[in-house]
Amino acid sequence: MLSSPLQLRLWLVQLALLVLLADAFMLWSLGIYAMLLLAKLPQLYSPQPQSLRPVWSLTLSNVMATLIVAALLLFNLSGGLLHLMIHFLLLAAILRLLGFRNNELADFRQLNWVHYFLIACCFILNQSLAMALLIFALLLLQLSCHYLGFAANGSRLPLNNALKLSLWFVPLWLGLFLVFPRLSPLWQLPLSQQATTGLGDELNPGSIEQLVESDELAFRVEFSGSRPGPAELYWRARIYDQFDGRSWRMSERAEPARFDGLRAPPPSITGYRLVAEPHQQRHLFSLGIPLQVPGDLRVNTQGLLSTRQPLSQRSSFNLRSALLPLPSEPGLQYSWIAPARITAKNRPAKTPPSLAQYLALPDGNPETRALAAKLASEAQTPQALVALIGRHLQQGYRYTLTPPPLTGQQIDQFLFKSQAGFCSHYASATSFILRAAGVPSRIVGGYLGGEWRDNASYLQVRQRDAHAWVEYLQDGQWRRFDPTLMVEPDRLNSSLDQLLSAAELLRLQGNWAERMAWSKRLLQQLEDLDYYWSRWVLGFDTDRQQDLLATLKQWLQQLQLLDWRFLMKILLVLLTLPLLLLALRHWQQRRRQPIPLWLQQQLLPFARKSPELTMQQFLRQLSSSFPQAQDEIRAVDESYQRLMFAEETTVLPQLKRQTKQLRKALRRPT
Amino acid sequence: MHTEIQLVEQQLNRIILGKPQQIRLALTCLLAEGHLLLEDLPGMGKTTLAHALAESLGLSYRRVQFTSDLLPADLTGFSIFDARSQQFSFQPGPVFSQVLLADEINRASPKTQSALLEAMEEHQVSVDGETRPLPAPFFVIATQNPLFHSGTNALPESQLDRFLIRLSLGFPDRDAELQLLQQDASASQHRIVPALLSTERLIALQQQIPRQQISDEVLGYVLDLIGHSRKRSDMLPLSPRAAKGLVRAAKAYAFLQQRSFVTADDIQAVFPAVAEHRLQPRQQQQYAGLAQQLLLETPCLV
Repeated sequence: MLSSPLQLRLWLVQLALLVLLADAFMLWSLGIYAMLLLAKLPQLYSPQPQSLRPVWSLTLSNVMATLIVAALLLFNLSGGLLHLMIHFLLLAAILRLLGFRNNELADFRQLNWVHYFLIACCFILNQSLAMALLIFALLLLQLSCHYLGFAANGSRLPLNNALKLSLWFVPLWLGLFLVFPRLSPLWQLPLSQQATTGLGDELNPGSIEQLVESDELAFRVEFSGSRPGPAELYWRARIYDQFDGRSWRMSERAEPARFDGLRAPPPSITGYRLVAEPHQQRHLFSLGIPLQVPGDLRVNTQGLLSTRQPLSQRSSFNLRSALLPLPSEPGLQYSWIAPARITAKNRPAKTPPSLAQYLALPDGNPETRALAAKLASEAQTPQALVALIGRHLQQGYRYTLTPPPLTGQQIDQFLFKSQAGFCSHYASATSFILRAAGVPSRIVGGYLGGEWRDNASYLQVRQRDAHAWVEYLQDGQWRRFDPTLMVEPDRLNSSLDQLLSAAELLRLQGNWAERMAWSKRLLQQLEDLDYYWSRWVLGFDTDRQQDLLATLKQWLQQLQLLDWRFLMKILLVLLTLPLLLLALRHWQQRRRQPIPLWLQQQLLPFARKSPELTMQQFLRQLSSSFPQAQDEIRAVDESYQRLMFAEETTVLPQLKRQTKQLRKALRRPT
Repeated sequence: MHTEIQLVEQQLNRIILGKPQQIRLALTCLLAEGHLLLEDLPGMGKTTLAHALAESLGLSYRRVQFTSDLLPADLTGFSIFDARSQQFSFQPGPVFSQVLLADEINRASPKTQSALLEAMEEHQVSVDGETRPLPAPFFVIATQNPLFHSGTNALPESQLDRFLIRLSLGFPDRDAELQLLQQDASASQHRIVPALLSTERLIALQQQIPRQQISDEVLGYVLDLIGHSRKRSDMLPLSPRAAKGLVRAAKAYAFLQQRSFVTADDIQAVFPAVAEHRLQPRQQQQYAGLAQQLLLETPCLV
């Protein structure tokens, strides 16, 4: 008889699975599954353990399953195959527990393996270190169920032994982690229904401020060579090139062409590893011009990096960048002449259509246009114009997270009335002035700087580091200009927190834990731990594996003691040695096991002995359910009596032989 | 092997119909040198069983009907003054027999009950300052009516403990009762039950019982059962005497099965009869199932 602690544990495992797999569920299916779990609860707490009969009959379970599967097929087809399969499996497991028959070992066996599978599925949906620990705890709980379900009655879990056994397996486990081939996923992760995070398709005057209020992690970077200076840490993510008088948008034309690389080799290349948090969007983050990207990424002519599918898992990428201004699209010949200096002679050719989008402006904002004309008349080159704009911004403008709201002619109002704003305001105004003066320009959305962590071994970039700046075209290159630096030069070298007023800071630090020094330190250490988890465990891909094996091979060759192949073989033997030793120990332990427990274990695949039954009563029971094995059972019974009660120790081999025959007979069909 | 005792069992089964398990337990009790308490409603065959047992085993027996005015001396005997010899001479009471059939023991006064129980435990009687041994073997087969019957004095726990086994015959099943009624027409009221064993032979058999083999694993199971009763608060704990009695009874039971060793099944078979009246003396046997509960709750590892 399966006892009630087992059912309680199985129930707890299912509850935890539902929580951990909640991302795969929709609200309604989550509700139904929770109700199904609740239906089991009263029985688990009923005072009499004997009452643990199936809650539902098989028919009712089947009807429920049919209804729910039909509903899932109707409403959840868009959710993707994986989510549907998780739905099915968990549904099957829950209904099986509801219809759990106490004496049926088969019921438990199915449930057990399905639970293991579902626990493995949790890793598809959750990758962080904390979640991994949680899933591991769940695995331990399931292992205890496994033990309770299959162990002979009356045997107790030898915790000490189990612990020792696990230690034996550590080398093997590490070895497998290191050398087991990394297979690319066999399935496509379904698009999550979760909201996207990070920079959106549109840049409003208020959108970056909203982002900055979030403390969430955006991505982390580890540089392989020297670290770039703070002025280079402009992480490009999106480009906004269409302005409608209020907000900037990404142009809706077809996918920009693929960037075909630099014409001349760059003087220096910065290599780094990017670990991006899932943001459900396709864009990634890069410095300067990304070169030689991994195969599943692409770089467009705007120098932006993107993935094929929206990023729904924490992923890491090995990237290399040239920290140079991006060359303009091929065939774009354009040189700027200040409008005031345009004469009939030097009138430029008609603006190429590919440039027109970087010059287009809606009507309005006359004061700004006037300012643009005035500044343009004083400048010889776009660079000089940009410097003039910068000088203008240094006069009386204020950097604040809470600017007064803008209405009507927004740029005019900002430049000449409120004169207070955040990076998006400055970028927007600057780009407007540049376009009004005839200089092609665009706004780049991304992140600036970040926080160096753990003795500057990696850079952590949060949503709070979101930033917007301007790129303008000169001499066939898109040059960066950050107008915010004109207003607040310290933005480059210090974190945002230090630049804001106390009231604004309080608004940012909504998290109570951030306000206390000790908890902040703890949080930081946890973040570091989480980073190394994704760096070394999640990010351990085929490349790293091959790197490691190559290093190992090299190292062994350097030793020059023996052929490295031979050494690898030795290593393999060393890894399998614990297994052999284990098998030996297991065999020895088996010999020391008490005979009644041993016999129970032998017959466990066929029937489970109720604890109160004597072995002979159990054998009689067995004989009535397996009439084809009656003779063998009688023989075993007789030997068992002689061994256990008449204490004729010489009967042991005979009993073992007869038990073997009995097992054979029990497997025989009736 | 021990065919005599098999014959006795068969003969008893012919007299008391449809109760083979109770008869085997009664024989177990006698082989284990314990006293037997039969508890049942009137007319269920208690007295018949007691008679048949005594006669089949070839033992001399006396029957005493216990009543509320029965005095201890009525049981043990007393000294009377012989005018001719000018001496007191001892007149032995019914207790000086091999089998004392104490009918309706719970009708007697507590004083009389304890006089009998002293004899049961000590196998001797003290009258007028002189200790007189009882014949061997000495059995008491007591019957008692259910306690709810009027005019009964319940036996105290300490005295119930002296009985190795308490049995209840219960109603016969339909077939057995039909046979019973048919026999009534054919046979006379009094049947002669032939003695199948001599006293010497019985004593010899009894002496074989302690030599039955019992393994440590089985003793472990006995200790588990006893220990479990001591952890529970809703029953009296089982005493070491009870444990000894249980082992002895199990050995006798195994002997009756023609085995020389005790199995866990033997323990389970005798346990309710040995333990129930010690666990909850106030409870009627037909209502109680404490011994069964103990058996269900104690894991059996052999």
